[in-house]
Amino acid sequence: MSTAATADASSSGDTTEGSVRLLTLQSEDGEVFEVKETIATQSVTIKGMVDDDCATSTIPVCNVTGRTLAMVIEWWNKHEIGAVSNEKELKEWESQFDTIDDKSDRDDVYDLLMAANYLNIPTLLDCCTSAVAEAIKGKSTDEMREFFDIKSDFDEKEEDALRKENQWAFEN
Amino acid sequence: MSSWTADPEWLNWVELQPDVTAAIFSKLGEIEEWWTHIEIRWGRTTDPEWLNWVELQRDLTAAIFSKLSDIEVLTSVQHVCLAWLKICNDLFMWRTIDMHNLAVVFDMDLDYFKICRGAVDHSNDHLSRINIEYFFNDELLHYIGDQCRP
Repeated sequence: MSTAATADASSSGDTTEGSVRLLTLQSEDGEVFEVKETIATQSVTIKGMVDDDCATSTIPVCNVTGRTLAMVIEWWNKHEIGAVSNEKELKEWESQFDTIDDKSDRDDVYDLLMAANYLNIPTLLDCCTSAVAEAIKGKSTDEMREFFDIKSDFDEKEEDALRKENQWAFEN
Repeated sequence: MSSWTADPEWLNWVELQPDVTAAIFSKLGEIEEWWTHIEIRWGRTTDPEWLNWVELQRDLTAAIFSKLSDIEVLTSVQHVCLAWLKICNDLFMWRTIDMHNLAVVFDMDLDYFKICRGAVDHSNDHLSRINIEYFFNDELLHYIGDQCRP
């Protein structure tokens, strides 16, 4: 039985909402969220737990902070069938997730990527991987190292050899 | 693995190389116990030091790279660090090569034939799809055919 979709699932206190069961999720840092089962099962991991009857008590989401989990729940709410009237509106809303303008966005996307992977949420995973791919596009090797705080672990010889090996790409 | 010491502080399963961890996980198969599953998977903490893109799970990094064009992977991404080079060299990246309309995307004076041959070499005859619309010639088609002979 489906209930009228609302974009807000923050109603706490009740254990059921109509005929919809509420699941209790606890983030790594102890924040507790009550989420409609119909929404949370967008996560394949949580759906598996529900199907196996393992979701009766609080579900620890141990690798995800409360801040990130709140973002994930927002994502679920927007992606619930009927929550957004048209595809265009949804895409517009999604654009806040799929652009990385600075390092703080980058860190948010990292956390969301880990959460989406851990909870197995294909739509969010796809959005986050696209966001990182967009951030990579057009950057040189050094710019990428700077942006992602990666130190080159090639020694000088290897680095030279690599550049030479791929020299063909730049030869006229 | 080269930095491995007997110091117990180093005995950190989370720091295990992503592909080794992935190999272990692949042996778990369809585990019924979701709790075990959840305990085992990637125990990242919120410590900012852990926000390490190199240690991002291998399949996630691969998913990101698969959204890039082959030429980006070949010319810059794979040079960032060893871990990324290994992932870029992973065969799956080169099963499909899409080089159509390169000139529009990249405003550079590149030798597309050479790039294409390099990409085909990378695929180690695992290539299953190639799009070379707009710049192919007989020589290139012969080359691809020879390289991908079963």
